[in-house]
Parts: sequence; C-alpha cells; structure tokens
Amino acid sequence: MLAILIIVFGIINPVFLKISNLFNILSQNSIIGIVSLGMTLVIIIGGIDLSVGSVVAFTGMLFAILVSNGMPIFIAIIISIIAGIGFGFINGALIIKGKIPAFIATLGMMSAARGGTLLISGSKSVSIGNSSLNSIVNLSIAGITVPSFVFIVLTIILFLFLNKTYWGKYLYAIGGNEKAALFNGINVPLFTLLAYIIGGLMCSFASILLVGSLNSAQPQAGQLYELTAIAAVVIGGASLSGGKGSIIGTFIGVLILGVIQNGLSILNVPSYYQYILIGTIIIISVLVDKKFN
Amino acid sequence: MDSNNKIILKVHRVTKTYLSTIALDDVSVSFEEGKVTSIYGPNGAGKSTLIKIICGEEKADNGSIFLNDKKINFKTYKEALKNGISYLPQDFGLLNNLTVLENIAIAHNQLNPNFIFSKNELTKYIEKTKSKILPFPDINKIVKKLSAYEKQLLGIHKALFFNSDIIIFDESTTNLTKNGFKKFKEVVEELKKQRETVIFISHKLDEVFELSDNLLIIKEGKIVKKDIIAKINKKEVIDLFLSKKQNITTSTTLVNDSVLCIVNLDIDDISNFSITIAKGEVITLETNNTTLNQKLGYILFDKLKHFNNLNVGIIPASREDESIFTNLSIRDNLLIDVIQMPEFRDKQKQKDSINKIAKDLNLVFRDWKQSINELSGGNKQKIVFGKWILSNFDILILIEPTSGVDIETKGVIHNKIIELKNEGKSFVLITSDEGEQEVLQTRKITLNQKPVLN
Repeated sequence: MLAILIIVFGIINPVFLKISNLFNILSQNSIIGIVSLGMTLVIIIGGIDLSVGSVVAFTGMLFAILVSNGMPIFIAIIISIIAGIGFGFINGALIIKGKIPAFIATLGMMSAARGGTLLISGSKSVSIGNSSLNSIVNLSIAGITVPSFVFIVLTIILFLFLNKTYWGKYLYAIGGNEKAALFNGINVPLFTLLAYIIGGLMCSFASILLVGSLNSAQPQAGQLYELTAIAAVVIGGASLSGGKGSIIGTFIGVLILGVIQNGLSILNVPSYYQYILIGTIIIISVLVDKKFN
Repeated sequence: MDSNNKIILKVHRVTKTYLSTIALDDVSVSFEEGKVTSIYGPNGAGKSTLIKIICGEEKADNGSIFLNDKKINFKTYKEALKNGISYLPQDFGLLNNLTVLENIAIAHNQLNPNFIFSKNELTKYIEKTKSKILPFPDINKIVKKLSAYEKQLLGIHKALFFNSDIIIFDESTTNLTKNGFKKFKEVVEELKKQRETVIFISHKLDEVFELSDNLLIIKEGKIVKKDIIAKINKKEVIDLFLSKKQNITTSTTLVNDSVLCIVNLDIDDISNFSITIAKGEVITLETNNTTLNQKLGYILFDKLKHFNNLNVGIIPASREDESIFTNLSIRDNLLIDVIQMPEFRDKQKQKDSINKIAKDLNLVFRDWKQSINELSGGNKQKIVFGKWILSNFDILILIEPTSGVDIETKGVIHNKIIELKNEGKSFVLITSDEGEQEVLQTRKITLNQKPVLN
C-alpha cells in the first residue's frame, strides 16, 4: 500500500518523489512514530493508551521548565524519562490493581496530564533558550535527521524485543488470552505493566525530540497524538482486540499516514480533506482485518 | 490398593466449597508411583476441582496434600510444575494466537527460563525431544487454525515435554479418534515404563478400563469407590450412576416417507453428493476422513438454511464457543431463538414452556436468572438442546451432542431424541461415539472421498 501511494503521488506531482521530500516525510513523522511504537506494545496486550498526547506535552513541558531554570540538559532528560515511565506505571497499575478498563484509566490520565501541563506552565509556552539540544536535534547526516535516526533505532530495538525475546512473546500471549497466559506461567500483571511503561517511555523520548526541534515546549503539544498513533498501529495490521500487531507494520503505518499527509499538501488539498481521508483509511483497515481474520 | 507400591501423591481430607455447593467433601486418596490412576465420574462430580487443588490452580478450604510424604501447598500451577507435576486441562490451556512452536517454547521456558527466543534452536530441540508416537501438528501453524484434534495432540505433547514425575490428563481423549486413542495408550504405556505416574480423568468408562491400573470413582464430591481395576466390574460402575434406571427405549422406527428435502453437498474431495432427509429419521453422517466429519455438519446447516419452509437447528461441537451465551442467564439462553415469535411474547407462556423443558430434560439449577456459567457441562448441553426443542425445529443437526457430558445427561438427551423422532422430527447425527450411533440411528450415510489422482 505504501508503495502504491508513493507511486500515485509521484505520478501526480514529481516533487513528491524527490529524495529530500521522502526523507522529510520520515523526519516529520518520526516523533509521532516513536509514540506509535509504544502504542503497538500496548495494543498487542489488548490495551489502549489514550494519554500519550498529554504525556508527551507534560514530559516535554517538565523538561523545558527544568532546562530554562538552569538544570543541565542531561539531568533534565533523565527526569523527564522518569516522569514518562511514571505515567506508564500509573496507567498500568490502575488497570491491573484497580481493574479499571484501559480505555477509562488512560482517558482519565489524558485529562489529568493535560491539566498538569497547563498548571506547571501557566498555559504559556516555555523556551529552552539557546541550548545545544536544538542544534543536535536539527543535525542531519545524508538526509537522515536525529529524530529519524532515533525512530529507526527504536524500531529495530522494539522489533528485536517483540520477536526475539520471550518477553515479547509473552505480550502477544497476554493479548490473545489472559487466562491461558496465566496458566502458562506468564506473570500477566508484570508484563501488562511493562507494556504501559514502555509506552510512557516512548512518550518521553518523543517529547524531548519535540522540544529540541522547536526549541520550546507548548502546553497544547501532542494533541490528537493518540488518534494518529492508534491509526498507525491499526493500519500496520494490529488488532484492537489484542494479540496481534507488529513493529514493522506500525513503522509502515506511520509512513503511510505521513505520505498521505505530505502528498495531499503538495497537491494543495485542504487539510480537512486529509482528516476525512485518514478517518476513512482507519475504518477500512479495521474492516479488512475483520474480513480476513 | 496394592500396598507394595510407593505412594507418590496423597490427598488427605480435602474439602472445597463454592458458595453453597460442596465440590469436594472430605476426600482422601493416594496415587501410586509408576501407575495409571483414573478418576471417573460425571460432570460436576468434582474431578477437575480435585486436580486443580493438587496443581495450585484452586485453594482447598480444608485438608492437606503430600508429595513424596512432604506436605505441599502450591499457590500456582507453575510451582506444581517445578515440583514435577504437569497438568493438561480440559480446555488444553493453549495460547491460541501463537504458533505451535511458541506454545511449546513458552511452556518450556517456565522450567528453564531464557530471555532470547531462538526459533532455529527451538525447532531443533522440539524435533529431537518430541514423542514420536503421537502425530505432531505443523510446528509453524497458529494454534487458532488447528482442529480440535490437533489442539488435543499439541496439549498432550506439551504435557510430555516437561518430563514430570506425575502427569495429569483431564479429559484429554475427548477429541481423539479411535486410532488417536490407541496412540495415546501407547504414550501412557511408555510413561509407565519410565516409572512415571499418570492420572487420567475421564467420563469415558471404556477408555478408563483400557488404560488404568487403579480406579477412583467420584460422585457428588465424594469418593464412592477406589480399587485396582481388575477388581471392579464395569456394569457395577454404570449402575452406580444410573440410580434412576433410565432405559433407553429403542422403539420401532416410525416409517414415514414424507421427504423433507434433498441437499447436494460439495466439500473438498466430495462433490455432488445428494442426501435425502425424510420426516422422523435419525441419519448418521460419516466420511472416511474423520477430520472432515464435523465440518460436514456446518456445511449441511448452511445449505439447509436456504430451504424457506424448514426450521433447521444445529448443536455444534464446541459448546462454550458456539452455542451458549456465557454472559446471559439460563432463561435468556433458552429463549434466545424464539423470543421474537408472537406466541412467546406472553410472560406466562415463556414460564410454562421453560418449566416444561426443565422437567423433560431433568435440568438441575437454582434460579432462571442464574448465569448459565454456573452450571455444569451436562446441564449447559441440556439447555442448548432445550433451546432447539422450544424453537420447534424440523431438522436438528447434532455434532458430537454428548461429548464431554455425564451418563445421566447422555441418557436424557438420547431418550428425548428418540421421543422427538417418533413425533416426526428429523435429526442428522455426526458422532464419533459408536454406541451413540447404534442407539439412535435409523439410517447411515457414508460419504466417500474420491481417490486422490496423482
């Protein structure tokens, strides 16, 4: 599908096919891509994480505030990573210990984290000043930017994790049938928690890159990230009922969404058509999945 | 029991209650090392509960369990496994969305934890160590796509991989063919040679007698008999459960040649085979390919649905997945197909008809609003059957209608089928139980596959 889209857009407007444009697509979508990687694990265990956008905003804002108050970047990064993990942990704990449906727990967290972001920032954007982070994030070697590079590396790491380790297999097992997973000796609560924690961790990574590339943190950052991420994962072949999905699929799903957006922009199609089209694609990919499975 | 043998596992005065029902009532039994001990009894008698308590899947209210004279109290099945007890549950306990290989690997990983999952090494390991007696399903196939027979095989293989001292098979032969059972018997004999202890839970008396050294009979949570198999008489066991003396009436066949329909079947290698179904007959359908038999029932059902004047029902092989709504009550499960009919709108009529079904089928339950999930397998099957009786079917397709149910339920269902047949209802029966065929069938149709052309 990705290949077809690229060819179609390429025929309509050759500008699209320029290597620089293709690298551009990868780079522009790598931040939401990283969030989607985490979402993949959560969806594989049969969960969902609606809080990703707000968590990106919160961890990014926290990071920017710490840096603007003179904290060394390296330490600020670690603190914001811990915050991301913390959000994942709370989400997971609410779901396992509180037996709250993932949809509700993360919906609550979505609102809470957004409110937290507005609170700590006073609803204003926070600049990180002339930091070295901005120049690092905007670095580009042979067209591959730092966010693209991080996205690709995380894709490879999580691919290996899901396919070449028992822990990865456990996530699939839990998503398929929790009871059977328990019977087979899998520590279901622990690995459910792990999936949400990795989800939160990915949000931290994304937020640092986002703040770095903009040189500031916005209180409204990450809005609708949950939608785009879920869309990318589903287009990549995952099932929302759990037990199915792949990292490579998500990677391709992110690119498909990026290609559509970019292609339509080059063709000067107004953005509201893009939303309609993306919505249609999500529904069609779920329909196709239902039809053939 | 033979006192010369060492007792490996001992259950001492175990009691277990669920809400108000007593599942196990002060049960004490011992299992001899290197022997096959069968636990026999109808559904809901407490067989599985006893095993689950031994394996740490359930907790006993009272009593203790000793393994090699040491008191044990497993909290999880994993703990039991580490102490040399492996258990194959009735529902196989497989991970359906993963492959055969991944299932074996994850199970195996409980005893030898690894982090890296290496497909090549695992494939080699499984090829090397698997039991050569039973067929092994395609290692790369996803379990969801296996037939019930293949899942059963995989379950047995999985249990064998642990090399445990005690292996517990809970109704593990239900989905095996005759030949499959023969192979299973060889596996059990092989285990005995290696001095492994086998516990076999079953409601199939013939198989129990063929496999066991010792027999425990359990009824309503109590052990009613324990002895070496040679000292137990099959007839006496049957009498133990048929207290009500159900005579299965083999009445003269009502000859009624009014033809209901003629259907053409086209499946796999069988093409254009036509079947005529007349009123008041029980047709058993068979092919020479046992894996195809069940599929035949579903295909026939699809075909028959297109006859507008016929009301066709089906009792599928898998009760839990295909024929009951586990989240609904007994009443709703019974009425689900007829509730939109005008005559069932009346509350009193609803009550009367379900009361009649309950009486006819000797249904044991507490309350109509009770969840169907609280019932035993046999009672659930009665409800599935009762649902179709209410819908006043013309033809009912029965796929393994009494598999996994107790003798009492089996008798009730058989009697009712014969009664309905005599009233002019028709049945298509697909069953691997030869006794059942003999009792019920008025006509047998065997579909032969075309020889494969090379």
